[in-house]
Amino acid sequence: MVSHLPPKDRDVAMVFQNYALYPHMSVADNIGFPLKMAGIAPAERRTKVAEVAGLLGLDGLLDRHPRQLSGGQRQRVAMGRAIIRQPSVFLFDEPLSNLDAALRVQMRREIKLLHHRLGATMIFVTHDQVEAMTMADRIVVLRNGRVEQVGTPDEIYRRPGNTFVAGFIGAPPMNVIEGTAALLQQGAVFMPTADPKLAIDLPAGARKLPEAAFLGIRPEDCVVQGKARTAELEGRVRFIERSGPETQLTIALGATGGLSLITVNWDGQRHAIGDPVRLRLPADRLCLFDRDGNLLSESAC
Amino acid sequence: MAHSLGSQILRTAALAVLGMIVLFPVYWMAVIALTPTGFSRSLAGIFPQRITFENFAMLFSERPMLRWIGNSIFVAAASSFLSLAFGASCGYALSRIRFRGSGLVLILVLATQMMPATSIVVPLYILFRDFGLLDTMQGMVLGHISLVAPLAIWMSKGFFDSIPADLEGAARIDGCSRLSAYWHVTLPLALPGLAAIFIYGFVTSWHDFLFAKTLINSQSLWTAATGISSFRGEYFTLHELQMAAALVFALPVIVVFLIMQRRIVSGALAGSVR
Repeated sequence: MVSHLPPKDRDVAMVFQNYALYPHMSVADNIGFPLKMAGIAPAERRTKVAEVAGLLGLDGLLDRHPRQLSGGQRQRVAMGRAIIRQPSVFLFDEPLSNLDAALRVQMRREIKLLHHRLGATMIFVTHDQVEAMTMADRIVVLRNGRVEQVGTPDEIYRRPGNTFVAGFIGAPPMNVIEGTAALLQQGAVFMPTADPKLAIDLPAGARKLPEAAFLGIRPEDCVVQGKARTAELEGRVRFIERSGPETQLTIALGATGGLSLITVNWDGQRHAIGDPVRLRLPADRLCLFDRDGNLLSESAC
Repeated sequence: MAHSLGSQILRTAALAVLGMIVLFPVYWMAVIALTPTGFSRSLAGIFPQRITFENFAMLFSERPMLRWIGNSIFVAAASSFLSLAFGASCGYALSRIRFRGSGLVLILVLATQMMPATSIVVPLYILFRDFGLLDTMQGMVLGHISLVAPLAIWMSKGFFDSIPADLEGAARIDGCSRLSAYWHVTLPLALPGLAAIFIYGFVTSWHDFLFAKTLINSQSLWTAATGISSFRGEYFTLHELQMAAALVFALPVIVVFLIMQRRIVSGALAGSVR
């Protein structure tokens, strides 16, 4: 436990959201400051600063002051100051949130490469789920200071522990439908509260059916079919959002249209608003949650 | 462009007139100081008829002007430096450390500024008499600290508030104790503000006449402000000598300001945080 140790003795380095660079010091002095405080001789300090600057592409900027740097460069100086101490743990407090989109993608890659090169534990705080998904080995989802779920990005995405995680991770988020599950003659089905006539088939092995209160499915798992064949649910396209490689469709289901699902299409199918479509929800992709929103059966996912 | 040229001329002329109005008393002070003793009343125009430096020579030969200036420099430097040290540490604590009653302390400190100096000089006199501080340099310095320190506390609290606490947090993670974080990071960044406080303290102490006149009796301990007033007699005033002394009196403050103003630069914090 390091709770009662002074910050300097915890072997932790931190990159602040606002970088917290020392404005009266040059880049070299900023990066070398932890070594100076550790009483390391100037000559050795210079060598190490040059080494770290090379690693981060800051070679030509060592004599500048923070005010003369761009956002991305400041970010790198802040990382350099953290790296140079070779700590056991790095804390990154939303370090990319102040950068523009392109730079953010670039720095994301650089931090990940750095992580592989240094091999030290990095704790990275972010509100950006893309950052979380792409960078993490393990994700801890927090809400109001409480841990909602711990797992690999894949686990978190495929088997969200509760409806909060299901809605929080993923863009667009997982479709979560309120309703009840029952075992009928043809097998287990889920009947949405908004339109109980829409019976969604559940997998054969689904357990604890009486407790089920929410059904979740990822948009990209919904299979949109044309007008033909053995589709399960009928609906109409209500809204279309194209983002290039993919197309998001908001589909109003059933006769009343009281229930909408978001789907993601990759195959370039052309749809227009108002088109009738049929939707198949593969049973092996469904998640069931209880009344409190907690995941019921992993087998259903 | 004719329009902008015309308005520029007008603006320049207005500035010139304003400058003359502001600077005329200083100019007149210099004219009288350069007029032979006793002749200032017979000045006919706005230019000196005969220039002489005998008033300045007399100041330093027949009057202990050098000693008074020295006393003033000592008192002003000591009281502003001590007020700065005291004010900066109090201001830092009030800005960074949360403790019960910190708001009350600030208000009390401010309340001392609300009372005019004339109302505290009598209690101060009695207090100093009891402590044996009357007619001493230490007493004088202490008196001036009581004038300067409250504002020094408020001003330095404001400067420290403007320095992001994250910088100290970063320094502490980088291996500093609280004190070394203050020394290496916060203090250098607060320097422009502290320089302003020093100038304020120096000028306040330098110009003080009330405390200097009340707390000091011996002529050898007079500050320059008391010294200048001594040229005004019951029956006649040595205007030429007094004006020469006033000119000499103004110089050290100008020098201090010119030295310290280079420290007062804006934008020292740029680039530290987003």
